[in-house]
Amino acid sequence: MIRFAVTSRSCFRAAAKHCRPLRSGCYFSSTICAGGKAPEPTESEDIVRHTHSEGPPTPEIDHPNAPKPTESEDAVHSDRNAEVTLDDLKRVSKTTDLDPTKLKDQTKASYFGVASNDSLHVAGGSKKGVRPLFSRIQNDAYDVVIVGGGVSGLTLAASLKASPHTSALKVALIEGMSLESAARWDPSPDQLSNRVSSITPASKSFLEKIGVWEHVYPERVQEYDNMHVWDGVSGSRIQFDSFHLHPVGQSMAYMTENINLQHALLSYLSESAATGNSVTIFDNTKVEEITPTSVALEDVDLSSWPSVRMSNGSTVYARLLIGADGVNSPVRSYAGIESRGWDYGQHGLVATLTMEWNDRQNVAWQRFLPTGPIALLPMPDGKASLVWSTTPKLAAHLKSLSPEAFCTLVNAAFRLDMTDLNYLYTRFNAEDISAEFEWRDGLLPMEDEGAKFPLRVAEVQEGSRASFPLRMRHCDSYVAPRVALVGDAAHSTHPLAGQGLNLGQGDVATLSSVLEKAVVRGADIGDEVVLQEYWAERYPVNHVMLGVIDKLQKLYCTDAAPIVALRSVGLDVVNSLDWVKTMIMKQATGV
Amino acid sequence: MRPKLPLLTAVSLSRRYTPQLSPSRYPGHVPTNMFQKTLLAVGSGVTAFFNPRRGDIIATLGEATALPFLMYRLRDVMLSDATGRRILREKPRITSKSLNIDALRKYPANSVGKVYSEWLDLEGVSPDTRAPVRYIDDPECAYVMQRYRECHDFYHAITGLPIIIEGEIALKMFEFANTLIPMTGIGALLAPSRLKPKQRERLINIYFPWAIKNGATAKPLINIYWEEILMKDIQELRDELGIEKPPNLRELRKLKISHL
Ligand SMILES: Cc1cc2nc3c(=O)[nH]c(=O)nc-3n(C[C@H](O)[C@H](O)[C@H](O)COP(=O)(O)OP(=O)(O)OC[C@H]3O[C@@H](n4cnc5c(N)ncnc54)[C@H](O)[C@@H]3O)c2cc1C
Repeated sequence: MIRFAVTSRSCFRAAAKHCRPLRSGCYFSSTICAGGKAPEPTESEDIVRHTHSEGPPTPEIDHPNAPKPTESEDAVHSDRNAEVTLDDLKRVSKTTDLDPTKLKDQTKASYFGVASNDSLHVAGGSKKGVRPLFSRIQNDAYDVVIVGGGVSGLTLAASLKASPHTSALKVALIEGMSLESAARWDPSPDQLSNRVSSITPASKSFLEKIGVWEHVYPERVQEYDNMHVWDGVSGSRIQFDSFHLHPVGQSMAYMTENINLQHALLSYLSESAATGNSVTIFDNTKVEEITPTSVALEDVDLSSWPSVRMSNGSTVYARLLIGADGVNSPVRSYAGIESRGWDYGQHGLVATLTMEWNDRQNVAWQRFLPTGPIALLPMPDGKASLVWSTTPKLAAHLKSLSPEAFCTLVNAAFRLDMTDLNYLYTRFNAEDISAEFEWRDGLLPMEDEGAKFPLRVAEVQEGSRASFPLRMRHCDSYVAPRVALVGDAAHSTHPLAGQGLNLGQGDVATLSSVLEKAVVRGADIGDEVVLQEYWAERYPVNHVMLGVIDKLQKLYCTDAAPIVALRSVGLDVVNSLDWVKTMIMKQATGV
Repeated sequence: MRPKLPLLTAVSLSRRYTPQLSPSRYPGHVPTNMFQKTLLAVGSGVTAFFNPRRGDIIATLGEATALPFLMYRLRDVMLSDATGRRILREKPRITSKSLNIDALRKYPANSVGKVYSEWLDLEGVSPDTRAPVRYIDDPECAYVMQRYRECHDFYHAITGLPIIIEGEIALKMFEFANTLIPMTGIGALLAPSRLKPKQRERLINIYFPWAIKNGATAKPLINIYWEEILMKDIQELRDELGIEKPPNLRELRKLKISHL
């Protein structure tokens, strides 16, 4: 079946205004497709084809545990949609009261963790065959539909449920992959996931406030309060200590696996479901198509509500649709929001490493090489997480090397001169690489050993090497009528400052409080005017952060002598000014 | 021992009256500060101009003008090549002892070793006449300079250029094009002004074009492990490196030819 989504915002707006759908040229294409006719694009409409190749950046190598979305339900449910006729909808919606508190009562339970495909049936209401349309529409309309079960999407769901003002909203969350492994996560102490993020104190206190942080496995969190950043070409360096932090003595950041957060969020949601505040989760379910709902009603105007058709064949209607669906956000395409930016032409190679000793776990290291920065971030029990941004070609080479050779190259990348490193990139034999490394490393001054370089890497966890394309993206707007974007759907950035996930947390915090206010005031939470406040607050903050990171990446991705000289003088000056460093830390920790 | 020049006396005096800069970092190392390095450069440049046969002064000029970053650059040329790295790691020295010149004389005709020994005999020099490095601070760079000097006679041997001033200038130009390190170029640029017009013409018409073309296209000669290829056929080596033998300079001089 070919799937289309209408992405023209003007078309969407027109539909919202005139409420005269079906005939009006905006597609209710699930009906059309199921009926056997493919929709024909008209001139004014910008039609994109949804394929499975769209989606978040996928690792270049398959992670052995990566969940694969299933698509088996597709055929079964498409029939069901075919029966929805205009008359049906009109009849139903007249009697449907979409008051949030009433909607809440109609939600049966929170569905996740149980066998995923089963939950789809129940959530979609189709397990017992075709039900009367009336209840189906009632069940399928939500105050908030969140697309994306990454950290941003789950945090928003949790934070809505955490506030007494928004906990009554009827919320659905749709995630293309299985969330079961995250919900039932039973981590083994000596294996770490390779997707790791540094959580700023600001993000952590937000997660604490909404009650999620207590569900995080604390033994899998590593804090650090010291950071070394240096120039691989000139050797100029800057060092941040705990006394640059405010308040003095707090941590710079908390390293943890993304799945630890996802697990905590899902535990929180399940706990909150037990107290009657549930979120309906459709996992293993892809959003296939988003269209304006083409229904005219007397009391509640459903017509401006986006309707979201899922891969399980059912459709949900959203008073407010949240795009937490990552870089290639389908929600953003639907809302016709432009996302601008560029690709860095670099890949972020991640890996889980074991250091030679379990020592100096409070320090993060980052060295800027002309091919991109390499960062070593501490994890508990003498482990560390590597983010090596480099050319796609080198990333592929580094992934193909034997584990021993790879570890030697990581050590070399933190210690040796660029000439040595460039030479080592051309070698394949582990012993050869190791002999060359030991020779050059032996010439380094002894006194630098403890102070200037991280411990050596001893091992790389099997299967943990993966790489992701890096890019800078920022949306013109985060909101449209009945649509808001959070996290990577709204912006994505280079990992050199470890901010991507944290910016998403900031979005969620602001959006939740904006929605809270709207509910208290009795305003429509999908109203663009309400949502504007969220955008107005977050855009400038994210814009500055994205800009600074982008300039840093550009400044350091060259070895042209005059630029190296300038940036080195600059870094040396900054390094001698503690108050500037305190200021930088304030920005980076978000407090 | 040659009499000390006023310039070197000045440097040693100034060394005596400045606080110790840094300890000696390799045998024979003479630590100097920036001012002393400048003094060395200017002084030896002037001396070399008027007295181009003073090998020690030319050497000092080389060391003094080889600003640290140029030496690092030459070192990096070596570090970017497998053989160059091996040389830097093993730090072999070329002396009459390490090479055993007598044995080389018995090598097959046209082998690198044989041609080299023939050239030493013809020019009446020995590998031991090379001045030791004294003024470069970084031990590794000092070795690079030492190696560079010690290999110089091999360059003469494979190009067949004699150590008379014209040959030396042609070879300097060749080295400059090969490594882009100016110290070898400075000599070549300064010296021609002291040549006879005929000699200058010959250089400009015949040897400079050869030097630039061959120097620029040949692989960096600093990365040749001479000690390991003494048995190799010299023409084979030239082909491998991409070097054509220039016209025989001594013969052209005899025939007074300055154009080809
Ligand atoms: C190498 C690397 C290192 C990083 N390090 C850090 C760090 O140290 N600190 C930090 O703060 N950030 C870091 N980041 C950034 C951080 O990982 C991201 O910003 C963050 O994960 C984004 O979360 P998200 O929930 O917004 O989006 P995502 O995690 O991309 O989630 C989007 C979700 O939407 C789902 N989805 C997409 N399309 C559909 C669809 N059609 N139907 C259903 N579901 C759909 C996807 O399956 C996915 O689960 C790093 C990023 C990279 C690449």
